[in-house]
Amino acid sequence: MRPVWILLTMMGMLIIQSTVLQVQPFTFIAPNIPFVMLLFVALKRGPLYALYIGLCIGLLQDVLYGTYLGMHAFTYATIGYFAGTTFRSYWTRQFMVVVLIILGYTFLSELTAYGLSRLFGQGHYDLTSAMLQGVRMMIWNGIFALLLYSPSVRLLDDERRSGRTEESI
Amino acid sequence: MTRFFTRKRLMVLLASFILLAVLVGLTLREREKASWPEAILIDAFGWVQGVVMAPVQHVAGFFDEVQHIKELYSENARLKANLNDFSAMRVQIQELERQNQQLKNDLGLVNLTTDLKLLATNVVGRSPSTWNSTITIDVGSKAGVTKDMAVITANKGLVGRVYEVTPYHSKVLLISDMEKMFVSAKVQTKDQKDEPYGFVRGAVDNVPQSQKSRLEMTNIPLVAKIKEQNAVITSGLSDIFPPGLLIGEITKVEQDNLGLTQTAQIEPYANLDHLEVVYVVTNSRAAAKE
Repeated sequence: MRPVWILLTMMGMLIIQSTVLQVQPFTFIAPNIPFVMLLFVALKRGPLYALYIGLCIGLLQDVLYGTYLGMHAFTYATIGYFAGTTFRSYWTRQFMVVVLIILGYTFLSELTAYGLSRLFGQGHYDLTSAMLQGVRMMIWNGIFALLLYSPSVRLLDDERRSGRTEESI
Repeated sequence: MTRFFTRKRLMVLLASFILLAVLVGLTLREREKASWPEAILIDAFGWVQGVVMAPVQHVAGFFDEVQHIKELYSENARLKANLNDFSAMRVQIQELERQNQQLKNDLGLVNLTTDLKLLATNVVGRSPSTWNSTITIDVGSKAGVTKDMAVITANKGLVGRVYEVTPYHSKVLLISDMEKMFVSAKVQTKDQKDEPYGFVRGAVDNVPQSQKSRLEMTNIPLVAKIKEQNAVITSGLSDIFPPGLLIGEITKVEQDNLGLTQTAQIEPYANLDHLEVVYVVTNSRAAAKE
């Protein structure tokens, strides 16, 4: 799958997330689908790729729905990059390891976004509520990671990649 | 095994954090207009969202109807019983309105709350993030919408204010936002001379989208006699919101941490978790200033 198609797919997911999943009675389903996809990009295409895609989709989310630019762009890019590095470090042929890493980075991304909103915003959200939200996101993202794993991995498989050298920074 | 924090990676992380700080610094302050790339993106995505949203709301409406079909029977019976009272009440209201208008004319007052010019608009999208409380509506500067106009529901429940305007769409900041939304409000009590003022914003423990949106009113004087079920309305002291817009109903009153003022938990009148059609108040004070 070409990078532009990956980006368009993620934009489509962002639109579904901001329309379909924001209307009752579908609001109780609360995953972050573009983020789950970003972690699959990190798994299949490596850290640098995930960094660029995360930066683009995060910036888009900031422009469309944020009150200032940068929060999601930074969060998605950083988490995408480190998730890619983690996937490289561990034996990710075990499906359970992949899911556990996804859960861990989901929680980390919620906490990063919470930290940035505390740092740059004037709002003082309660930390306990933020942690609870992180756990809630872990559950939903976990479910969607299970559902999307097979189609995403198939879409993201790059046959040309086998002969290419590994990315590094 | 790959090392996580090599020197090069740390440098890149540091540089990107500096870049982030610059970007946030440039955009954190409220801007009069969205830049043209932002306007193009918001409009383009707004149209796509509008196309997706229409069928989704039809399907959601169907589910909603199925869910409430049992309640409809009992509601219908109750409404029929109330119909007789309604006719008598209507006559009474007309008489009171006439008297009210007469007294206002005698006092030279201008009616501020009933002369709202409203622009109906559809909600085409909502922020998927946990940390933003914005919705996108399908009217923009071409329809006469400007920044800081008040946005309400059909029953005058306050929804928020216009935060960013593009030619064909606008971003609305909900009142449940904690960062950039402070609404000057007052509590309606039986004693009209003692209607305490305060500020309304999103509740501290209210993480958007994880539960029903709640608000809190802070800085209420300690001596003010307020209680649960008192209505909270816009005060009219704000530069943005017209007076008399319904914000919500008090559900809990407690002293703040220092014991100097009172804080009230509010349940908003507008169902902030389910917004389909909202109204932009085009003759609000923000428009009058321009």
